[in-house]
Amino acid sequence: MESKEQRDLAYENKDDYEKLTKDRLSPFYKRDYRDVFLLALAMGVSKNMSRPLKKRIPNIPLRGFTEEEKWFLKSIAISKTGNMEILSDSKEIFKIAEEYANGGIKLLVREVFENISNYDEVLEEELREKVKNK
Amino acid sequence: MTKRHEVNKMIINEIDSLDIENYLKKFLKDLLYFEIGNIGETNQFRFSEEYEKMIFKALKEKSEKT
Amino acid sequence: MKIKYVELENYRQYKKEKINFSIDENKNFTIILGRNGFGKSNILNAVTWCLYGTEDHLKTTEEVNKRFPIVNIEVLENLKNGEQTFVKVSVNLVGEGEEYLVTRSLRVGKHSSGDNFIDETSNLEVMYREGKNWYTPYYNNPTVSINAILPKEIRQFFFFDGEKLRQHFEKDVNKKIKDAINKISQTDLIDKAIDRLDYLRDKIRKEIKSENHRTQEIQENMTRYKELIEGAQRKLKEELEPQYEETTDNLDKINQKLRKCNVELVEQLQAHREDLTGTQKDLEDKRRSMKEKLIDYLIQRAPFILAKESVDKTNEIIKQLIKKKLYPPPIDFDYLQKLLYEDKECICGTDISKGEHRDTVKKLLDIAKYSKYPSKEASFVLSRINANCSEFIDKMSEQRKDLIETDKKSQDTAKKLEEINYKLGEININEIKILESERRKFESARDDLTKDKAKYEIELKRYQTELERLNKEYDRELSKEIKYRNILLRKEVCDKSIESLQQIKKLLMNKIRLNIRKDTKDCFFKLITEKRETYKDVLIDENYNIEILHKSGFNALDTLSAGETQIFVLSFAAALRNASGFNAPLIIDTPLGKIDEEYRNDVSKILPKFLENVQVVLLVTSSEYTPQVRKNLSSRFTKDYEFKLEFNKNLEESKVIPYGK
Repeated sequence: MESKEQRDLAYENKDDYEKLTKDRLSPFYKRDYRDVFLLALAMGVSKNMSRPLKKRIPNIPLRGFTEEEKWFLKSIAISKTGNMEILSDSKEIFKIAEEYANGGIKLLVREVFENISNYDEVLEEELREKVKNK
Repeated sequence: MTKRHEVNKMIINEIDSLDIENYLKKFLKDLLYFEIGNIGETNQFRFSEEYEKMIFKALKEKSEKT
Repeated sequence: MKIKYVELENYRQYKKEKINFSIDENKNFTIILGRNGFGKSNILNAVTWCLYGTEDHLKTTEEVNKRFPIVNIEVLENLKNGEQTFVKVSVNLVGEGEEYLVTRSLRVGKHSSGDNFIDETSNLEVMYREGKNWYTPYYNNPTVSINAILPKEIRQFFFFDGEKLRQHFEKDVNKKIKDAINKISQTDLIDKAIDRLDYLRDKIRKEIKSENHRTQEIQENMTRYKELIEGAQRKLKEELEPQYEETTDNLDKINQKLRKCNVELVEQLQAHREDLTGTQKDLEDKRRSMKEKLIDYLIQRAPFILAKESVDKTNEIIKQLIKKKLYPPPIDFDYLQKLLYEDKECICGTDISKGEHRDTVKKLLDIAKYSKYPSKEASFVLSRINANCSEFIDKMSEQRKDLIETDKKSQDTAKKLEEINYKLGEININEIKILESERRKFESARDDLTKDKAKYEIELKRYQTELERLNKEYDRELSKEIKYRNILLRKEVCDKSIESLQQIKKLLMNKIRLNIRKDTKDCFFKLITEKRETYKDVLIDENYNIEILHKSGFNALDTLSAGETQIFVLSFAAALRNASGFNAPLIIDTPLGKIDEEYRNDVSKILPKFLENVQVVLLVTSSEYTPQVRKNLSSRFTKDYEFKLEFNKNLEESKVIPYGK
């Protein structure tokens, strides 16, 4: 069986997460770091930007993730490596996720704060485009 | 003096369920019991003294653990 | 804690009177019947005067007070020139193994000139009993002793006037509730600890005399931000908030005047306007929560959609494995492992410890490894992700549409309001013109103040965040020097403690708020038996707004009848008492005053059940104390504790006598 060590997911720098969750106008205001992580991760994946962490600050507990979100992390790893074997190596799965999130976080911060008054509309547009292009 | 009541228990429970080191939990409890027992005390100097003693005790316990 | 007796001397209508209250567990009610003016309410006033130095429930107006001072007028008149006496009220409190005697006295007298005098300040004394003797607490601060028994700030939930309770409840209710909950949750204890830790932290920091240029720079910055914070706090507390309160007060008064101005058209328009203003506020609240939900949904779904390719690719990989019949695998991995490394023999008996057979089994192992990956779960979850993605566009469009609709309703309401404002502005009655222009003035002032307050609050937060950052930077710089390590360790204990205490405070107040909400709801629903079906829920949100959810979805708090409001407030007070853990006596003046007859019977039947284990003193009028009500309460009191008041006009004196006499 796959080992489910209760690890925390890590980021490199707390500042970006703080900025996004503490700014009143930010859509992430008062939300979990987990939400930021997932979106940063998705952005990193969609723009294929992965960056190794210079420093690991584990602060996002895995137990906060839903089943869907956990499988989401796994599928990113499976998709990257091309096969299912990666499932036996949770450490590697997390590493892949953390590096994509690390790659996408700066982009996310920039996009949010450049469109601070209507980021929800900007994001929605982006997603609609994505769905249409299937 | 007068004993307080279940609200105190609630505070103590909250301290216990916090995600902090044990020496800190103990320190907080000592603090609050001290406050409860000295409700009428307004002498700031006396407080600082007592608090320092408690901090010293807490640090001692912290170093004993490590 | 229970009141065993109250002793009155020269206090208002009472020359020398000792009133015993029942301290029995089961027969916990004491009833005192009296007409208004006989001194019924002054029994309650005597208690609050004794404990807190204030008479909260004076029925007489300011002007009448001049004729009726706190001292019994006959006693005062009969004093000789140069003679003095005292107004004294004593309250004897008993608890588990404790007994206190609280006495407040006020010197009064006649100067030698013949002029009466009453001292400005009264004297308070608290004694406690140990064995047969009475002692004064060592630090001798009687106010503190009393606050430990029943804090002044929450007394209105223990000693209250049934008729006035509703009014008291209507104004500034949020702040009052917040203060009450603060007091109950003993967050003042936590606040005190935080204050002292803060003071100590500063003291510790001052021990560091760093010559480092960088730290000095940071110090200067910190001082600057501290000043900015103080400035902003002062501005808010001393200027903006009082101004805001005053302006809203004035606005309310004008609205009231317009509502009762005796010009029919104006009254109608004003009522309509107030209605629409309420609707507008509801629409704004609705919009806010809709937007929040929309963003919730958006942020939740966005990652899956953005990285859809990964999910799709994974699905493909799984499909391929399924096609190749490798997934789910036909053989269990663990079984094969056991076979190879433990049993070393197949079930058919073939030896598989070496050779060709072993190789075959090893190959199977390679395939079987996929059994470690829960396949059913994978495809199920992944297909769910896909489904959620495909409904994304429709759901978003729907939510956007609803949002636009609400906006439109809001615009329509705004337009209607404008029309009414215009119509009212056109009315050619001088008084109305003045009121309208005043109203406009106050409304715009209020809006400006709201903006200013928000601005300062945001700035304040910014300064505080910056100060925090500087603090951390300062510590970082200092920790580079070893000689400060110890000092910093002590400071760190303070820092962490302050943070933890603030967390606890928040958690505690939240828990208590929710408890109070639940208790209020339970009590209220039990008491309003008839209309039970009409109301769905009682809510108290984080800003201490109270909502009574009508089954149609709106907040019915303002539409309750006087009686229902009374019942609600009684329920709320009961919930607060429960939450406070203070087991103090309940003294209610005119408890059933405003309640309609149909509820009076129900309430008098049910209230005793809610007031078990509480000492209850009811000061009733004869119109409340109907035979039915008396019967309903009868299980809770004995004849020994049922009294009535007798007033002797000639002697200006009230006496408490048994009810039966």
